[in-house]
Amino acid sequence: MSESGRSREPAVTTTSTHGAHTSSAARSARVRSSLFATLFLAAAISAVIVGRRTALDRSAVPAFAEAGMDRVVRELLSDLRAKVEQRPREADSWGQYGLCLLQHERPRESLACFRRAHTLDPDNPRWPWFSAMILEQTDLAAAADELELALRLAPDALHVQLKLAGTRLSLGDPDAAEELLSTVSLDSAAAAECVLQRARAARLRNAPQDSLKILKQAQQNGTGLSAELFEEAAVAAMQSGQLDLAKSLQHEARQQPPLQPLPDPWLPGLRAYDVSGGADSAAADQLRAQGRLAEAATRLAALARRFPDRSRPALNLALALRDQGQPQRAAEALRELADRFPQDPLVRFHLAVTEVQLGRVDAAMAELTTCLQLKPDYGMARAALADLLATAGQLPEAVTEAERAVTDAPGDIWIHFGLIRLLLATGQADRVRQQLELAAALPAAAGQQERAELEELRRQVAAAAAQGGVE
Amino acid sequence: MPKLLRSIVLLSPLILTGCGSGAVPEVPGPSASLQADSPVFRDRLIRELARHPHQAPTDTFEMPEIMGSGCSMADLNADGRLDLLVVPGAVSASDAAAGGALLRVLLQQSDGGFADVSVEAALRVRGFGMGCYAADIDNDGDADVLTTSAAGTALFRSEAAADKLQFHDITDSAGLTSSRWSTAAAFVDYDGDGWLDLFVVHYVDYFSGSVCADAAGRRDYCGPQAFSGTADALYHNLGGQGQPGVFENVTVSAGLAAAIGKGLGTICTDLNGDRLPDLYVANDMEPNRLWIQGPLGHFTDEGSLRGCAVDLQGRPQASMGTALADLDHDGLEDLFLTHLRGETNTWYRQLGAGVFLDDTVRSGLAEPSRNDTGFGVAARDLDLDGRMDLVVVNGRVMRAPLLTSPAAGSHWQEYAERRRIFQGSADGRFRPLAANEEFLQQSQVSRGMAAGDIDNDGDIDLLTTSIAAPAQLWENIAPRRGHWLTLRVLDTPRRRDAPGARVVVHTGRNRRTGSVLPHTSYLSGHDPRIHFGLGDSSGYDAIDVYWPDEREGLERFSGGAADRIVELRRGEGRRLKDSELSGGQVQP
Repeated sequence: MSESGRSREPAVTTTSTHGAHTSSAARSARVRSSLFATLFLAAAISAVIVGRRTALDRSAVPAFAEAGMDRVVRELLSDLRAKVEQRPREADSWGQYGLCLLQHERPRESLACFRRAHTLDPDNPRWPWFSAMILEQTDLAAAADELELALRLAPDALHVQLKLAGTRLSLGDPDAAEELLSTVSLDSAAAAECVLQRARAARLRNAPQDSLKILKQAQQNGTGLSAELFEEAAVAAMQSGQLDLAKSLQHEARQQPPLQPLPDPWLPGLRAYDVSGGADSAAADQLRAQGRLAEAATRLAALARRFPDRSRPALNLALALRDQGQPQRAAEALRELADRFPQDPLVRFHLAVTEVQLGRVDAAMAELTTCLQLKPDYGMARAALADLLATAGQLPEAVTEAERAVTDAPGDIWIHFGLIRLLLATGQADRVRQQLELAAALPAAAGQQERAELEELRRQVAAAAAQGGVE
Repeated sequence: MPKLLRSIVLLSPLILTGCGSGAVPEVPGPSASLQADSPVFRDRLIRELARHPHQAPTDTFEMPEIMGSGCSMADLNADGRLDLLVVPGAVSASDAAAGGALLRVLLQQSDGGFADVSVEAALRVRGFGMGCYAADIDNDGDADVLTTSAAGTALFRSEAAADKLQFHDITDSAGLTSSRWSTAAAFVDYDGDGWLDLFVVHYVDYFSGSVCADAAGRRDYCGPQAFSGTADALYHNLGGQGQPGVFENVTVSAGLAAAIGKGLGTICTDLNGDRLPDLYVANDMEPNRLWIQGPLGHFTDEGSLRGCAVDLQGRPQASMGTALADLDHDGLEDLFLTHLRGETNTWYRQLGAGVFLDDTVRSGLAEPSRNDTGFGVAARDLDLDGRMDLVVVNGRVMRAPLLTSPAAGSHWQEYAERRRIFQGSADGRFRPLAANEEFLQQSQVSRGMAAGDIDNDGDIDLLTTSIAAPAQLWENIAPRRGHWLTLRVLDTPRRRDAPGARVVVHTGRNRRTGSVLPHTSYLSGHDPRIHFGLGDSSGYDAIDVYWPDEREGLERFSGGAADRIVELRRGEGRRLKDSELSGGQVQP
């Protein structure tokens, strides 16, 4: 615009050389000139304002400390930040950047993003919801304010309603919590969590009988039951001095399914930002547990390549190979891993187990010895060593190792079983009986396999006694 | 002369027996005018502590390093003055060759100064140091010492001769050989046979060399979720069978292998009112356990039932430090636990015999602690106004940036936090003290804390430890707002203090309750004496002692003047049966 203004000036000057007509033309030229000057000034001012506003938007986009950050995270965050800079009026850009910052533990910067997103998109309940997720770590009252706002914007969002009720409870206001919970339909997916919160609110009001009534009601209606509700009722029964009822409710709790918390429908995809390997590792574990060993191995191999400084991904990969029936390959992988991580007792232990599978008992024994030097309290490794010693006919040494294994891992019933077998083999009747009693008293003894093993051991004790092998 | 008697003789100008006669020691009386912003503590700047800062490397990221080490106040040479024990951190190669790093032992001198006798005492910690605990395991009047570490426990028997402090490592012969990562420990006569047994809390089943990173891929210390938990261990002292100081591991037969956890703190005393000692374990990110003792020395976990396993919302918290004190002055002792940032420190109020409620919010203790990671803790009346105060030392375990954190200049500064004092008030609520004093302003990675009256002047001083920094002795300089009473509860026939003994002090219509529980806080040992702020009461009417090995009745000691240290010697009071007690009021 300024360019065109300047180009007209010579033409006016040219016309001014023609008499009276010239003066009128000159007036008109002056008017035009002043109009153009005004327009020019206005345009310049607005250009400065717009420029400033753009610059303000850029500087308001939170930067993040990069020191020590994983390269992938850094690039991801830089990309998302650049998007915000390109589209500073777009709430979603801010929100995405905020979520990624939140996932990577940058709460201050994340909160700033969600607040900006809320300013740009004030009707969206997600932004105050995400802000509350950050604030609840340090300032519960401020988190409650954000949740109130989110609930006003999304009055039907049950997960917000429950969260706010829980927050009110944590702030010591059971009445406010109860008010929020009273409107939740017991036909909804939130029933169990709602009933549980109401029972807790009653206990906080020092009205344990109300907690018990809530449980009774839930039982009658057949809705809202959970293991946690029975636990809560048990505590309420204790609070009202009914020890027997409390114990029976606690027993009942063990028979109930655990509460399934209402999922957060607004928080998808945070896992996509996980670069720590935790999510991938968990997924690989799940695949292994499901018997999808090849898929698990593929994932674990990728993890091992991604984290060459960590032994666990490669170790899990080797174990997946072993599970797949390839102990030779697993042993090779484990040996290579033991060279790279000579101080890792877990690698040594699994190498020893694999060597046993391959029939190389001496090599296994050597690995277990190294393993126990690195981690002397490794009960499982010591129990394995006891087994190998017994196989090699060194029974007294085996018993000593098995006893120490029980000391190191007193809750592991299978380690107890190992000791019992060795005591049986050495004819120590009194100790066999004593150890059987101790093992039978462990909670793990209730398991099906464990019960069967106990029975088998008892049978062996009886048989040995009948033959005079055990006095 | 036996040490116990020697201590009584040495302390005779100050210590009075429970009969309530004798001179009042020269200590300041109540302050008429209290400045609201007066500092509570000043750093005594003990040279011997400054010379040996806690050792922790900055580049290995081994988990024990971030858990830090504790300290203790105990009278090791029975001269009536508390001495200081400070646990070292990392074990250097030369230390390892010598059997472990030296526990710093500072003997208090008659002029209040300290002599470093660490080399002479030769108390060595085998792995990265955790806690230290003094108690008499063989009823000979000497304080023996147990150390815990990431590589197991070590027990040292005191063999004092000719006023020379000497200890012998008896770990193996005592039957305590273990390489488990041990943290808190407590001596308690759980079976009432007159010999102190040992409860050792274990943390995670740790694999050294494990690599952990924060969500942004930055190397950091592993958290407890990276490892599985372990069972704690109970060792029965065989003194009753003629083998004092030899222990039998009874963990499995006592039922304690029934559940594993990731323990960091403990409280060992009767918690359900049946006069049998129970075991409470503060677990890191797992439910706390309250092992209630039943007949025949068998324990059952009732923490969940009794409302002290998880917070009000049913969430396990990252429990670290422990305290047991009557915070609301209702005659029942409450549990107080320190926790991770994002959680609250938690007050489990005792509602009735052994039933607790997370009542943190109502106490005003919730919000001020949400931004801290609390470790060492002590519940004491700091200004003698008759109301319990709380001190908590803090320090982070993760270095990810916070919502409100200043930039850190060094590795350990990224984990540093400030300490807190919560002042008790008449309305039963606690308020964080905001005084501009060094104790509260200093930012460190604090871990251990022991409370006790180091100078026997009637108020509570503190010993604190921080990672990679010297331990500090803090002298209480708060203006006094009332009278005080310090009680040493002596099981005279056994020539030792009586851990687990509960005491009720009667002053007019008030009853103040306390217990001999030195082994609480975080990896630390308090002064075994019980300290009471009495407020306006210039005397007391009577003191009841519930001995930990008795299942009924109590021993009542007669009243006396306040502002003194009183020894309550077993057998010198009046025995009262339960049926002779009338509504708690003292019958003259």
